[in-house]
Amino acid sequence: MTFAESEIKELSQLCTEVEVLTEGTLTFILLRGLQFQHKRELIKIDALICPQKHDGYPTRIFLDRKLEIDGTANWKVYQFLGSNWHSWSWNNIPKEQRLIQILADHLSPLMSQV
Amino acid sequence: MKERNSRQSFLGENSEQILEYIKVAVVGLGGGGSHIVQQLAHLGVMNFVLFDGDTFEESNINRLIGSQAGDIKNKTSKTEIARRLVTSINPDVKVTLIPNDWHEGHMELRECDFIFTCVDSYGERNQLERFSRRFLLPMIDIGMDVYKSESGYFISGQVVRTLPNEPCMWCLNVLNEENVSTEAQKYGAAGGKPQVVWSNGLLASAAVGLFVELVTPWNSIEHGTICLEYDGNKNSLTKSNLMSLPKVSQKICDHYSPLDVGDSFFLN
Amino acid sequence: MNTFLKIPTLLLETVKIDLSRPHPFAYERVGFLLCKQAVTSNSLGIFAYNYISIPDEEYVEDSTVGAMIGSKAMLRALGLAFNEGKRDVSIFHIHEHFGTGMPWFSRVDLKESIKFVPDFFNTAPNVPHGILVANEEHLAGQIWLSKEGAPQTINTITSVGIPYIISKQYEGA
Repeated sequence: MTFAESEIKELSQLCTEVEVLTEGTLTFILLRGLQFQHKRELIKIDALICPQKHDGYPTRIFLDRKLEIDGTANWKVYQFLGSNWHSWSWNNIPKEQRLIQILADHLSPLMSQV
Repeated sequence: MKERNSRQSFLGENSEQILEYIKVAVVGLGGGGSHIVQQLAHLGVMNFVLFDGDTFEESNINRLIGSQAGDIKNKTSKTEIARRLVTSINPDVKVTLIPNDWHEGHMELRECDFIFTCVDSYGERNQLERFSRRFLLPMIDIGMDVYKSESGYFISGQVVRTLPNEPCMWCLNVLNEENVSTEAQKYGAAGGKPQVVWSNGLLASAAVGLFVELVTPWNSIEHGTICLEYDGNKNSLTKSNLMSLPKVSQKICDHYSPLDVGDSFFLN
Repeated sequence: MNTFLKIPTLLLETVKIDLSRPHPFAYERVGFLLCKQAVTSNSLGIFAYNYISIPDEEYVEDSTVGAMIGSKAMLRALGLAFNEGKRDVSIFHIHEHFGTGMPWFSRVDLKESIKFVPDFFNTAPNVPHGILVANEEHLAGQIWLSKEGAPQTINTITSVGIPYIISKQYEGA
């Protein structure tokens, strides 16, 4: 799986480092030091974008830790690339869009927390 | 050779040392894992890393080896039951207990030499196999199912041994997109599935046999990866037809790369 | 620090086939294993994933040692440790001795390795490097955790596959 340089460049403006990693049949885009607003706080977190089908989700993102989400979030822990990553139930974000849009759509429930 | 191992000297000259040295992880200490732990202790395995986040409940007593009536009232953890079981067989064993989800103890799991996975989820099997490939761990998985059809109840199960650089559970179709995705869409614990002691025992015994034939030289092995299927109605445990799949018989795995080993974030 | 190394048996077989090939003038062959790393709860783990053979023409004729490789081979090893800037690959020099039981390095092996292993840290300074020796039955190794540090014996080396072999170094070995 390859990605346009423009898409990687877009992502790199949101974090300190972007790296494409693979594990088996899965490709991830690692975002180191991704920053966004969560519960009125600017947080810095490592994230993985999984832009292909995983566990029945067309796309997914995984974070290096759980974050508080009001309501039922169903956080689950996964092991990828030798580390634990956390994701919550937020489905139906299609892969047929730019990576930055995939990221934004997945982060929207976190960023809307007050 | 110690007297306690004298009846298994046919396993090989160094088998005693191998079994004493090897560090074995058992993830899931329920109906299947408890049998495995018991047998490994009898065999002479001395180093255990045991994972289970659950507490014993009354519905477990029909199959959890080592459990006692008092465990119901005491709400004993499954890790504690397993520890009690192995130390009663051999007080000298070293046991590390992770009374938690295995992810909490993944640093301990990395250090093991072998992993038995006795979990009730395709998703967890998938993750554990991915982990075992990354940290070069031979893995043996067991699972059983009871399902109902119009003509009655059917018991089935499988024992799968997979090795790094050999076919995986995806190659064998034990894991596939359908079963992993379908399960993932059902939120919450799987729990409450029918389970019985004799099927678990048979599968666990086969699993331990596959372990011993790999780590000791007593038997000549053709395939590292092997899948055995259990038919509880026909009372048979046979090599799966999936072993004849071209990629499986040629020992090719195209789901995992041999280059993906170690901790990707070691330098961080 | 406790250390262990794991190598897939299929990879080890590839290594042994290569090392057993005769060379026009060198008494023995050498190669490089590429490895990744992981810290565990109590140890440092090394995981071998690839092997680099040295072509015949990259050996240097030297009758005082079993095998001497030239600068081209060494540069290639250093390039592999550099890994396109990631500098995350551990290099283990490997060769073979005849015999069974637990192998160990000759005095010449140990003397020479002190000269070249620290150079691997020039391109990959933050990962360990080392040397391995194999025979028909087992493997033994030494690991450098830093450029300046003294090498230490790898406690256990496991060949994972068929056959599955654990080579354990005991205290004082």
